[in-house]
Amino acid sequence: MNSSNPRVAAEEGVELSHVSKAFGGFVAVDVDELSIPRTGVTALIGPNGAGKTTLFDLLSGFTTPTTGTIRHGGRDVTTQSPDRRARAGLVRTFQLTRVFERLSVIDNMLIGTLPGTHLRLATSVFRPWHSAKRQRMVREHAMDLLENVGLVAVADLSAGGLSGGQKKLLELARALMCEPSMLLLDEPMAGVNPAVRERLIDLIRGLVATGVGVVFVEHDLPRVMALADRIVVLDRGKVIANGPPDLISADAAVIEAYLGGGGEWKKTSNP
Amino acid sequence: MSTQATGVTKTPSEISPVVRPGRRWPTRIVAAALVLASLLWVAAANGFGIGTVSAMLPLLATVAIYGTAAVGLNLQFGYGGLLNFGFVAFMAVGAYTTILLIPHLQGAASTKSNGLLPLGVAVVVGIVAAAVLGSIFAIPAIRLRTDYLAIVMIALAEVLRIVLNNVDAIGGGVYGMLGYTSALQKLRPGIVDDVANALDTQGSQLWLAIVGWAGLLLVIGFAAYLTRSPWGKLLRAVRDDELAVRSLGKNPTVIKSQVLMLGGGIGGFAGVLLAFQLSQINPDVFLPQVTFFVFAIVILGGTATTWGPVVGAVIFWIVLTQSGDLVASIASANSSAVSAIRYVIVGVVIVAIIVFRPQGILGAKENVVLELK
Ligand SMILES: Nc1ncnc2c1ncn2[C@@H]1O[C@H](COP(=O)(O)OP(=O)(O)OP(=O)(O)O)[C@@H](O)[C@H]1O
Ligand SMILES: [Mg+2]
Repeated sequence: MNSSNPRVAAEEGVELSHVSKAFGGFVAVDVDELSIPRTGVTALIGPNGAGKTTLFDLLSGFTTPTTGTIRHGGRDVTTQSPDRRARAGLVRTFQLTRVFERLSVIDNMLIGTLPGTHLRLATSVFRPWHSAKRQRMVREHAMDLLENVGLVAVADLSAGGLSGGQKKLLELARALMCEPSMLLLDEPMAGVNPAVRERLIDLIRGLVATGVGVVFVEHDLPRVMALADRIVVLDRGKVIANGPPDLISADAAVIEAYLGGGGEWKKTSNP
Repeated sequence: MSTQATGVTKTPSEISPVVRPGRRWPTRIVAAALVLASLLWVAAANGFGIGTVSAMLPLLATVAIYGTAAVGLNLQFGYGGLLNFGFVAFMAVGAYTTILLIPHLQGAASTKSNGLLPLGVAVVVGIVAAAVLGSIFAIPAIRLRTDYLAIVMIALAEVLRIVLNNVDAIGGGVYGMLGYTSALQKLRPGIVDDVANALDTQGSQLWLAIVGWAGLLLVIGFAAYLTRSPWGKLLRAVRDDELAVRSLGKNPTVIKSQVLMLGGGIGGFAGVLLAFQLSQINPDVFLPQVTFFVFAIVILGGTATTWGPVVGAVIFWIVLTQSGDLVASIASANSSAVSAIRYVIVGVVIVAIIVFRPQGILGAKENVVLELK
């Protein structure tokens, strides 16, 4: 589905050059050059503490790099705020879910769609009829998405009462309401029941078919192999491999890193 | 809408419904009973006679004024989660701006100043000034964590008060301003005087109470509309999780400054009403304790509720004023001791509320209590 050289195919995606992030003296991420194209499915894998979540934080603007520049859609976004990046289509979810606990599930879905990118108080408060029709459409869209992740029955209930897996699903569906062009999913399938996981995979495939780029972090290698067009392997903050699944599974450095990380790779390296 | 919650661990019946504070009937009935009991207390203290009305009117005006202020603070603190300990500054800016724009006497020599604007316009300018000036204050503070915001705002409010105290050119320094109430009272319809006569009370007091309650109901309607609008949802989302709001492309700083402005404008309006009740103002009307009265009212009534500010204001002021009389009648204490003990009693009521019902009279526990998971 995709070119064998992701660095060349990287038009308008995200690009990092000489990006590092240090916490005190500890360097969590140190990436020389990395391009993630705007389309297709990219998996980000690596042992615990490799810096995957930190890399997501850097890409989405939730943390600023210690050195280096980050580009999105050809523009330098190194110091741009996370909300501006989200408005530009780069939307992320969190490894530790962050739902609005005191809002209903459906209201969680609607937050990202409320009128006016700059929260124009005038249209959202003083002229609600202005957008009544749009609101109805948005609501229907939200219910469709909730249907997809099996949360329709709890749409009007408090999101704080959802189970961990349900919160994960809500967060994914909520991110989709922002109409992202590129979606960063931090372990979207962790804690999600197998039956729902299948639907989730279908959902992601459907998104990709409509041109949305998906980057996801996942520890389970069979799932990675099944879904990803290309894989970026991170180890101790550095990119140790980057390419299509078949090349990655044969990569000596990757096998080494994963053997060090518990031998998970070996049993799945021949899919 | 039955659904296939395939493989999902929680079914709808296991999940709590969304918290809608103040919309549960038992709490509503208890709140109404408490308000009624407080009013009966005042009536009983006056022997249920015609004198009750005269005794009640200033109290009702005070309740309306502080209730209005509490609606503004409830937007900022209850719905927006902003711990604004400098709320009184918004009231001061609203009051000073409006009074400066209408005819008044000012300063040590009671210099006469002719008004620039009719009262209605001056009030609108006062509200806008409170909203704008308040936000100019708040913008550096709004990016801070809410406990730091509290400290910065209390300092800014004190700076404003001290500047007003020392700059005679603005509102007459420590001497303040007076002689402006006729701007409101000359608008009083004749029928108000007729009714006041029949009730053996003063027309000016009745008029102030009517204006105050009209204003209170207006801001309650406005706040209820705001908090139910999509914008209100966003405000609650910001209170829940600012980072998640950012991840969805919305800027929490913008919405926080918007709620500071809206709540501050309402606070400015309350300041104007307060000025008309006091009939003279000076900077020491706007001491930090006013902010804490308003906080006490919001917490008593229940944060993030529509009617909490009214319930809180009624109970706060009736306990404060009536407990003094009660103490005086039981123990023959001198008047300064009585006035001190009133605050002790109000303090005890607030402590009791926080211990036994932290969500206030109308509030929902989920909004205030940290759950240990
Ligand atoms: N705010 C922080 N302060 C200090 N150290 C941090 C901070 N955030 C991350 N780190 C460190 O950076 C390293 C990478 O963390 P990160 O969360 O990115 O790993 P990860 O690859 O997402 O791991 P996991 O698979 O367990 O989620 C870890 O060693 C972590 O301790
Ligand atoms: Mg992680």
